[in-house]
Amino acid sequence: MEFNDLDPILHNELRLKVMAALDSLDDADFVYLKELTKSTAGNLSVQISKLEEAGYIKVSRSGEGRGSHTVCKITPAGEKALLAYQRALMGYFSNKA
Amino acid sequence: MEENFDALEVIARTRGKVEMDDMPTGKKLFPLWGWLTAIFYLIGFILVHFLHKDWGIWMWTGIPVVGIPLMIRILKKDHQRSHMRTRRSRLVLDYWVFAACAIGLGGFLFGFMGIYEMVENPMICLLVGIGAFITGEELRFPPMIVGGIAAAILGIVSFLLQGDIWAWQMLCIVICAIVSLIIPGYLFENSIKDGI
Repeated sequence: MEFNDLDPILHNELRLKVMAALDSLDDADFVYLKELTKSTAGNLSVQISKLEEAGYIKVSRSGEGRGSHTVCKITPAGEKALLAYQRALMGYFSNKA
Repeated sequence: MEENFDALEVIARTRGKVEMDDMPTGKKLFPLWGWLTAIFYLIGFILVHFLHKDWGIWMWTGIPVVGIPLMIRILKKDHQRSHMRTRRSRLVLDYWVFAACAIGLGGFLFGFMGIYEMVENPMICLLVGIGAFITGEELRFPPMIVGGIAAAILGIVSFLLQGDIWAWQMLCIVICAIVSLIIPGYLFENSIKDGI
């Protein structure tokens, strides 16, 4: 198996952290994900948008400005993609060994 | 852009952190519902057993009337602090919603059917017992698990209290609330304060 087969959307440290967290959770908000991943708000926002565009997470936004609240939830497609990504990695390492 | 990082380690480490952050919300709900249940059923027991007022069986309707607004207030406060929710805690919450609906619906249904004393009170003990048990399992908190088992046993005991002595079932519910909701609730709150 080629290393290049890895899902490019998930093969990014910050996006992978977000996906791994959401896979264990029912949902999580932006503040929690920012603290968990120790990332900047701008970078996290960009990566969340990419995951949302890929259909891997669902983002619900409520309110505006300082009081706004963003909640993320993994989708079934996201769960499948993360599982496939992990399997691909395992396959890569077992082939390498 | 090619990334260079140990992906499997990132996944494992992130999941580990999430597990550690899993702080239960609504921890004040156990004592709240426990006290309300104990107080209203104790009043019901006194009305039915000592004062022979049959309408005392409807005392339970006061529990949701007082409890739901207080619960919403507590959950709102908790939600402001909590930024995530695990799947397990969601499942436990779903169970309690189901149990509350079953108890409420059963209370009216069995009350109007005239079989309240046969079914409703043992069912309450059993449903509360199962709830305390699975919540205890989710929180890995043995006193709550033991309280759940004790409540289920009280459910069987109260089922045996039929006929003229059925009013004592209400006292079983009072004990059930104390052993499965009030005591484990306070112990759990203290364990969080102590950082156990």
